[in-house]
Amino acid sequence: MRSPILKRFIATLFAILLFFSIFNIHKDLTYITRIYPDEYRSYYIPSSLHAKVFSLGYTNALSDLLYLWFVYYWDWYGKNVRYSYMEHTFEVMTDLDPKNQDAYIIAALLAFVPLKWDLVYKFLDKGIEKNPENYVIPYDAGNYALFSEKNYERAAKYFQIAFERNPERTTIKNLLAYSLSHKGDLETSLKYFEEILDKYKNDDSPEGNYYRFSSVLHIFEVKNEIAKRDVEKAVEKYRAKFGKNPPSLRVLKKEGFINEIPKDPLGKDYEYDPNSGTIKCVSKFNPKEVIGRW
Amino acid sequence: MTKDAILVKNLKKHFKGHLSIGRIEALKGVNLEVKEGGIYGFIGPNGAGKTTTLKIITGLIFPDEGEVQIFGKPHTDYIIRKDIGFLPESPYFYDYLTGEELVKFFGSLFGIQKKELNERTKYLLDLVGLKGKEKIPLRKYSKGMLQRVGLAQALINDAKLLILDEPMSGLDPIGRREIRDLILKLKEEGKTIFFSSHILADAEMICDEVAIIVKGKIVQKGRLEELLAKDVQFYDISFKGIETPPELKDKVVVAFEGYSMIRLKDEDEVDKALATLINKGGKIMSLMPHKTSLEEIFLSSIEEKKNE
Amino acid sequence: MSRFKLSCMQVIAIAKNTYKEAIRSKIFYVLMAFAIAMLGFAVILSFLTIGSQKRVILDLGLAGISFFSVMTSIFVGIGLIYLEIEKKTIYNVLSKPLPRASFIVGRYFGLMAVLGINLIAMLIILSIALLFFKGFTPMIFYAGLFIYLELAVITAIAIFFSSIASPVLSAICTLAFYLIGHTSSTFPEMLVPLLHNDIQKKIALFFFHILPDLSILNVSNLITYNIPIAPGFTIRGIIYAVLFSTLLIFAGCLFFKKRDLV
Repeated sequence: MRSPILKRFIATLFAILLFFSIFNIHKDLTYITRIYPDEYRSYYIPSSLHAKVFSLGYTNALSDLLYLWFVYYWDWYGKNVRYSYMEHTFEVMTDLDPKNQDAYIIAALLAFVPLKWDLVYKFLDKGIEKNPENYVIPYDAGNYALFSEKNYERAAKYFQIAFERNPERTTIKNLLAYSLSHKGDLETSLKYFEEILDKYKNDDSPEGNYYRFSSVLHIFEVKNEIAKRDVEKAVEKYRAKFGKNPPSLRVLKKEGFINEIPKDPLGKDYEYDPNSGTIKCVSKFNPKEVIGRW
Repeated sequence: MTKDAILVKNLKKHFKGHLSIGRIEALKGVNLEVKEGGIYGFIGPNGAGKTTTLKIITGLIFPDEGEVQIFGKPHTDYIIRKDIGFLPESPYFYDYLTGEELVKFFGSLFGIQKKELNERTKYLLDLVGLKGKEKIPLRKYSKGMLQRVGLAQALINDAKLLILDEPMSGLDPIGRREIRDLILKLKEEGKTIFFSSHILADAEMICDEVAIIVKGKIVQKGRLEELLAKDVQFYDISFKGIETPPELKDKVVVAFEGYSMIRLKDEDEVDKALATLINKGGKIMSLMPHKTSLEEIFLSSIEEKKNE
Repeated sequence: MSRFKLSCMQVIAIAKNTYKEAIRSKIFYVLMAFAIAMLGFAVILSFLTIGSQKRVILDLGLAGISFFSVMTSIFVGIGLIYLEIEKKTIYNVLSKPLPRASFIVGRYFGLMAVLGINLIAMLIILSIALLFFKGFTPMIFYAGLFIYLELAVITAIAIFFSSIASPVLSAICTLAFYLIGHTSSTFPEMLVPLLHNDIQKKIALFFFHILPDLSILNVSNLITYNIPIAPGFTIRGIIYAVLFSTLLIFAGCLFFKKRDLV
């Protein structure tokens, strides 16, 4: 043991041994904590107000860090607690940095996966409220309502907000008109579709072609819907008076329930079914032909 | 009439003890008059109040009582320090600067213009013997080199009055000699030099005037030769040609081949002894008064102070 | 030479010397390295995000720059006067024909020069990172100006405490001041709901307006979302910071003037 080299060697060996012991214990501890049920994983995010104090004014940076942390650890928590944690985390994040559009959209997306609609709209509503200029968030909300929830009233509400914030974007106007037509506000819908058509009348770009095609198609449908609705209303009044459906549209006109016998957008007659009291469009509609004619 | 370069009147200063408990009287009424021209030594043991006095003179600390005048003007106005070159005790300098930068920095504090500053820096570093070492950062300087660069910066403003706190501490014998020569040279240039020291040999060699401070009080001051002349300790008389008279027998120090030397305490005794010896036909070879050295004055002052 | 001109020369000389001190000290480079590492970290983190990468770089980058500059200013600033006394280097400076106020002002400007260069270097690095991600906006230099204004105030506080207290105490006080300055804007939100009667609320709000509010000098959130700066904001921000620093330096000089340098 007198040799200094031997001493140094033993000391080094000891240090290496220590290092590996610590390393292994840490590994074991990590493994043990992993077999705990997910619910036992600690979650602590302070309230928004405390987080604001804690951030020392760098609220955006803290919000970003929370966001990064959450994106990577969000599936770390059990399914039964995950969404309440998520709700709180995003609540704090958006309080810290209310302008961060991504936060609202990602939060909505995460809540959309298990179809928690109230959570989806809660975040998007907050985003809409906190960002009075932003049209992407209401547009996103409208898309959820229209395509996934198929709640046309809600979709129309969100697209209306998005449209008011950005009247120039045709996508928004197009979807707004579409939602309105499903909601039943056919005249406004028709007006918007006609405006779109007018805008792209002479536009030969792919976008222009698409909107021209789409609006022509929709105008055709909405016009049919309007005629159908008007006839049904008149038929109802007729039935209230005479106790039965009118035998033909001509009778309906003669009795003064409608001013004109409706024609379909191609100028042809509708087919009337006295049993149900509804009309049906029988014209073959070829949009290309129509577009060509305009 | 020559004005006093430094006039200190009844200077008192106390410090608080540790944690503000207790009271340490550092200066108990110090009076000094440093005449223009010449070298004034301010001597005292460690902790006697030398540095405190110098700090008050240079405006670093404020006295409780008393006043200081520099060339007849109160020292409280900072502009008066334009005429002072100061070397603090064991100088601490910015060790990240080079010697040259340091001297230039202090020069610029006096408002010396760049061209003049460059020339003067070069001259002074040469003067204190740091030629060729200007570009070395101070943290690589030895203690002696630091002392030299400190002296160079004290001279940068070509002041009429130089205040040097322990200028020779930390130097080897050759260094001390060089600094001593430098101080003497500065005196020849007509500057007033006021320096503190606890090393008496240095003071004794170059001072015109000294003041000794012990425990915050000046115990002795005056021209060096007067101070030394004041107390003659004893006189040695050597004579030959006769036997030592019986009344002086007990005073004999040496008797050798007809020469004798007697030692006497005071002047009356000397007169008497001389009369006796001459009467008896003796031949006086020498009469030598033994004066006190500065060290002895110093030590006796401290003793007196202790006994008080 | 007039006293004023002499004082100006002295202030410049001391500022230059302070600058040299910082540039030649290791701590400066250590903090620089930390700040650069922080910027690198922001870039790496930005790869992990879902959504806008440049926003993460900008947010974390500006916050990091601000934070590290403030730390530099606090930890260099508190030693600015006190360490000179402790190392006894101050004796030689103040025994020159130099009013003590000039010394403090010189030290202050010296450190501000260092912090300015430090800040510009970090902003350039951030710009390069942002250019790389096509997120560069010249407004980060506007944010830089406001970070600098904040540094001016923090450095003044550090110098103020350094001229009256020991480094540890002044570090604690300056950090406390920084924390209060950055959280005081949330006090009304925090405190007022806890109070029950109007008098308490009025007192609380009165103290809120007395407290220094440094968060009004934090414009990085505005830069991230390109929110237009309100007219009159810039000039008021500059005046606020300048007046605040002047007040603190002035108070520091008053305390330092009568201090015994034992």
